[in-house]
Amino acid sequence: MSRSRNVADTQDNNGGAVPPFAAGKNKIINGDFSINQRAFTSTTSISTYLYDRFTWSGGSFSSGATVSAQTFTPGTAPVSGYESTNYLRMVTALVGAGTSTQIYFLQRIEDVRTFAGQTMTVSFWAKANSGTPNLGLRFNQNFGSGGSSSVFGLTGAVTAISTSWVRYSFTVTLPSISGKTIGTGSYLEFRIYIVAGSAVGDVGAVGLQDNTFDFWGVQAEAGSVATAFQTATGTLAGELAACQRYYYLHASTLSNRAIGMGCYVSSTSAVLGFNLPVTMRVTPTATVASGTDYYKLDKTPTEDWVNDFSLATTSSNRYVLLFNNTQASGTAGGAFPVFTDNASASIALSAEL
Amino acid sequence: MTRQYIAVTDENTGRTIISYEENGFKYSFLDDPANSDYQAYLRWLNGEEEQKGM
Repeated sequence: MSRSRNVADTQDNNGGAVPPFAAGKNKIINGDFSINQRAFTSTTSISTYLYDRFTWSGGSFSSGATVSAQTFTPGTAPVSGYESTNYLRMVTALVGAGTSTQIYFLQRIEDVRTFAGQTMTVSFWAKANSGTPNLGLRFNQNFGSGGSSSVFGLTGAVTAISTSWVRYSFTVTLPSISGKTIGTGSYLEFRIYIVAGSAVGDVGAVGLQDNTFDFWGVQAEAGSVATAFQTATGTLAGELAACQRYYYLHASTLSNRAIGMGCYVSSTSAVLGFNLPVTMRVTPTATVASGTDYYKLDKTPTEDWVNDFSLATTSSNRYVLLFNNTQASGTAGGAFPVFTDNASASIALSAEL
Repeated sequence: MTRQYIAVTDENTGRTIISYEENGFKYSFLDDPANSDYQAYLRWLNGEEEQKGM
């Protein structure tokens, strides 16, 4: 039996945002940086998260790297017909740099089985403020807790970029995972290096560079060609949900907002429970802003306030139960709404890799 | 600043809650090997330096 093909999944290297699209083609989530739950604006702190799913790392320098969120002026996004909102800027002015210095941003794709043993292509748009600095791309197959040792390799040759938005692509055949042990929390990671001293493995040719680097439109797909860019899910709602598998901001920046229902389970322990909008990868880490009377337990006849909450062991990746047993004081039983009572109050849940 | 973890076992579930405070936030998570914060906690227990990539 022969079957016609209705949807082509390869395009030329110009990669404009033109149909057809193939759902799930891009394994990078939030590749257009449209989701920013952490309200990231600018940071000099290594290993902090940026736009959702993206973080940055490096080492062996004393100061001089800033990563910031930037907004496209309408009509200036690099792909005609794809008016994206945000791009990523990394600025280096290195102090204390040496042969081991490195700076890169990265995304971890859940499950080391992804693209294992396959030819695949990573692509993105980039530009520099001046000159023709280098970029390097490296993969890391991480086999998780209890798994085999990580496998690092060069995804593509070091490339010099220009001062205009240009799409760059790197094609590699990833190692097979045959014979490996896969533990919990495994992932495939891609690192885009903007700084790498000569001692930094196979990307050492990138060099030590002071410049301003801009990035947008990161894609990782099967095959040897960078096809038209699309986000992992194709919709804003889909990208948000995909991001919320790894990070969910439940409450932030607004005072006197309902954040769930609570009750006293004993005279000294109050709990607060709420559903997660998306089943998270694992039971998350709770990050709760802590400050005097940040959270109000709106019970009768009198309210009670607590400074923070901790994650209860009965939480899961679908439902979160928080508790406070150090300040709360009341009578067991009887439900009440819980509110933020300070603009700095926030509750975030993280299940990042 | 060195991170100071506190681990408490829940008598009802037998599971452990690990928490620490940093920059005005309270972090808490469970004893799940797939949780990257728990992996960092185990490295801290073993006296290993926090991984910063390689």
